[in-house]
Amino acid sequence: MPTPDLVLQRLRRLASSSLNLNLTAADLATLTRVDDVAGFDSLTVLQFVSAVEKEFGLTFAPSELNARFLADLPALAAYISSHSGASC
Amino acid sequence: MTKTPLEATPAPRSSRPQPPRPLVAIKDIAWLLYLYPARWLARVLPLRFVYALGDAAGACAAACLPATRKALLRSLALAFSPDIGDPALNALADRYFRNDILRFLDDLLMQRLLREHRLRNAEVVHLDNLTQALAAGHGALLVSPHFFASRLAKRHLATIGFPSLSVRHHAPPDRHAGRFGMRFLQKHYVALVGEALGDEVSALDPECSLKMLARLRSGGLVDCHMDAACSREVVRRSFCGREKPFPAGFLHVAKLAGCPLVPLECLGNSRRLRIEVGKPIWLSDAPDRRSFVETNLTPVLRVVEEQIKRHPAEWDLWIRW
Repeated sequence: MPTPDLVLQRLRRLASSSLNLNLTAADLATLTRVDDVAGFDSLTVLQFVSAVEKEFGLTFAPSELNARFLADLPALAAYISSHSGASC
Repeated sequence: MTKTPLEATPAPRSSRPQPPRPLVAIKDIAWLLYLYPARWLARVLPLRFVYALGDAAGACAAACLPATRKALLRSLALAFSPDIGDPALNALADRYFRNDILRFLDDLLMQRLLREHRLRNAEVVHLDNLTQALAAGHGALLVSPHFFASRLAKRHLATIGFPSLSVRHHAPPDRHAGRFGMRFLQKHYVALVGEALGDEVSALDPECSLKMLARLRSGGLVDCHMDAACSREVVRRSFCGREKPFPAGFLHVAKLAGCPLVPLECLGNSRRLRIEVGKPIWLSDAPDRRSFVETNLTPVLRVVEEQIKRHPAEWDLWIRW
């Protein structure tokens, strides 16, 4: 089972690519929320969900499909770490 | 329908400079009359009398709005000439105005119609297509053009056990309203339509696609209009004689949910409503995002364009698009 820290790093990369964030490595390393970055909109958040589900082999339940849950990367990493069977 | 190059860009706005809005426009007066006196009267007058007023207003609109009629005839001619001659186009225009007014009337009457179970006699054809689409448990995305009866159809489907979440633009552009109307009246009109629709989500909501996906993953229904290009990702296609942008975002939602698209044909008004459910359209996979949209949008647009051409007087957007 991947550790939350490793999942968080992968989530940051996914967020950066799917939300088209133009971040420096330093900014990316400290990214914790994605709902307040430029480029976060209805379509890009869908790309993010799609990328996360594909990367970690999971499917979010309807109740988890909200920006508050998905935008908090450390919390999302902890959730994925406890629910995913994906290898790092 | 002919294909033009696909693009994935923000929905374009007209490049022509718009004249400054007047403080109060005729549309503002119409909104004011519609939102207040007409709304109150629709609550208390006998329905037969309200419908008679609606029929009279429809005939009046057809005769008293020459500029609008001209624009409508131009759009109809682009789509149908030379197959349909001028007399037939004029007859279509008359029916269009009548249907338009009756739609506004039905929005005012919606709560009353539902309370008094007035939509019970609506005809639903091929409902089995919808149950078949929902059988897999991944929900279904109802797609339709802006037919005048769309809201009635949605509410009727809800009353017979098929409620859906409507995706709707909450701040539609309006060239004809004045500053007063845009500032004070449009939000009340949008709220009234929201009441008529029931369950809805704004296309401008950053969580719009998540809410759509959640509904579909719950095995439910989402409905959206194919001809409202309020998505950030649009594709331009020739449609009904004009090149227009179409939204592509709903295809990505349906793909992620694994659900089919189900075309709806919504005709008539609250006195005679007919809903025809089309065969489910399952999305084809493609190697990348661009070709996925390219592959899957065309069949849906073809179905929708055929619906409009079969029932041109029922389609709202000949002059609003």
